[in-house]
Amino acid sequence: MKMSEDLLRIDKLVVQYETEEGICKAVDNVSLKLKRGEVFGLVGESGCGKSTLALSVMGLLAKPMGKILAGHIYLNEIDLVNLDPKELRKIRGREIAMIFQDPTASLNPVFTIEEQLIEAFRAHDKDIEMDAAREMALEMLKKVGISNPETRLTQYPHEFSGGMKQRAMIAIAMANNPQLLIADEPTTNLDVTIQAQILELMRELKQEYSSSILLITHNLGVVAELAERVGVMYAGRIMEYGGVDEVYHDPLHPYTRGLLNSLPGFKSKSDRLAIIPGRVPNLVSPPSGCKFHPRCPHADERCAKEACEGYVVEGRFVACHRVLEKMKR
Amino acid sequence: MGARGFIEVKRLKKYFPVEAGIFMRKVADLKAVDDVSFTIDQGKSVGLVGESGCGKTTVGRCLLRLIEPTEGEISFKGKNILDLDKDELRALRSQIQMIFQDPYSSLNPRMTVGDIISEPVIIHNLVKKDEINNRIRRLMLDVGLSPSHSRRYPHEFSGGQKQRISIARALSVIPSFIVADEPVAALDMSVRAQILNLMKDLQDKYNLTYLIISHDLTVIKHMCNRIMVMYLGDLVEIAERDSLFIRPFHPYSFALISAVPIPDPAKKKKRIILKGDVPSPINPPSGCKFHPRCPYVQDICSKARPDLEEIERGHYAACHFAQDLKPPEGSIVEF
Repeated sequence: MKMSEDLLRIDKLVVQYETEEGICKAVDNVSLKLKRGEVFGLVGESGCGKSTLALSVMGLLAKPMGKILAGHIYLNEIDLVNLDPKELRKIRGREIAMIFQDPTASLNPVFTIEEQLIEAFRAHDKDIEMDAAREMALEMLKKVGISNPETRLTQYPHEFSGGMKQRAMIAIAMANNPQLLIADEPTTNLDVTIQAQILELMRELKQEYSSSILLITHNLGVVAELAERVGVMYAGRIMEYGGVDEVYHDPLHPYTRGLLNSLPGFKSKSDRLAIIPGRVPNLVSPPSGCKFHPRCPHADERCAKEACEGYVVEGRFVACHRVLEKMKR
Repeated sequence: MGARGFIEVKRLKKYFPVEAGIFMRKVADLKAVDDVSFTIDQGKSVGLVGESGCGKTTVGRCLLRLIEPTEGEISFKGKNILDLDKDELRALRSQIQMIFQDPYSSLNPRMTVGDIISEPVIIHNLVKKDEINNRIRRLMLDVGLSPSHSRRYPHEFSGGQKQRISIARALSVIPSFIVADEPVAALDMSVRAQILNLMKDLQDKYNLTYLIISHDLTVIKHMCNRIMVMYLGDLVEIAERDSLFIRPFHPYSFALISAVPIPDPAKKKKRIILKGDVPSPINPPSGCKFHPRCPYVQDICSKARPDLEEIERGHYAACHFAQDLKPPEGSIVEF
């Protein structure tokens, strides 16, 4: 296989849902690249399309409401969008794995952890002997730091705490040593000290495996702790991406800047927090032009008319007319 | 009444019975709040922080007697509210109000916003009938809603606006004390700052005292003058904000502060990773409840429960070794 630098390449992806209220463009012309071995953080508020993007990569969009209208998703230069379901099933779970926000809902309550791990191994290699698969399952549980792994293997998910369930989910996801791990809000439902444990585990796994991680979260702190690059999504579009240091210290897009400034206790040392006025738009009837313009302090007439397609400067991407104007000057 | 002793809580306990079997016999106690004492001064914002199941919400609800404490004393302006009868309790609730985490389920979907906001005013019979609309108007303006929307229903509003409605309802009776239980946890990032600012503005305007309950140290740090850290039904540390973040004394506070993900990639800190999970409050560890997870555990910790002691002026911690322990170098980073 040809090894390009990019593991995952999303090209002008458009995904929409048909809802009772109308058509909702959840992902609107998104292009993104993930390098081999890197952790890419995708941040955004609820409903910005970040989870839809992840599900599109996994080929798990809710059918028939969700549909990829245009664009491509290349994994190792193979276009997943037009792949037949059989082929996709071979890739899913082996090349790409996913962990979700709610481990309770993602684990099957009627099977033991061992059975679920063994299933993950054998789904992609039927020749693995049961004994060998058991050994591998035990090995995986040890790797994700579950104490007493021999006993734990024979238990059911309800006997695990929230943090342990997420560890078990990670074990299942990493079972086939995937090239791409998609982690959708992996620590959101966990307590602060357990969140720290899971982040530490992901850091260790990143060292041990060479997987790329697409980390999806609304928590800017989690991204800063784990990711090398970050993309900021708003109303179905990528507003900005770049290295975490650059984006956090010198945000280009007004939305990114607004978000960072509004976090309590960080940038704002004063009593009052900087705010982004208004609310996240409804994607069934989104604003015209740049979708952020009604909330943007720098918006002008042009912003209300046409959305900025975005441009790349020194490895950073930003989709804002006003920033471009400023740079030209 | 002076500023001190506005709220005084002494030895508060709340045990929930754990029932099992077909006769639902009590088999154990869930010690949600286990002997907790603290005071809140008037005009202050006090934060109560801890992980899920630590009892912080139970403390908040006991203060309003939304649940009856098992033991202890809660005095509000010098009067023990646990002695109040039904009528007195109702009167008290016009002075103490609560804001809940989930604005989606705490507003009645069949009532208009105007009715939701004015209901407490009518129940407490606070203003004349012809002045009610005026009160609604003023409250809606105060919380940043348009009074022309008073005939709309909750589903027509966004999450942030719903939380504004909840705040207007709590304010409607002009309370002096508000318990806010995770007031922004259910809101989007860009809306959180709006609500936090609003709460600060209203505090100044109405001279409110807040107890803010949250798992999020960043919110607590921004909003509160004084912070209480709770673990498994116990208060383990109480301190002024700056004092806590510069020099915590309890090992659990070390871990909690060090675990906050800081949105600044340049700030690399040494992380304290605690072992294991939060134990169940049904059968909590002996002695100091934190001892099975504590990196500094000694023999005495599993035997004797440490009292909350004043380590520095106004700074309390419940740890046998509070005087000797220091957070590891580089684990506490200013944020």
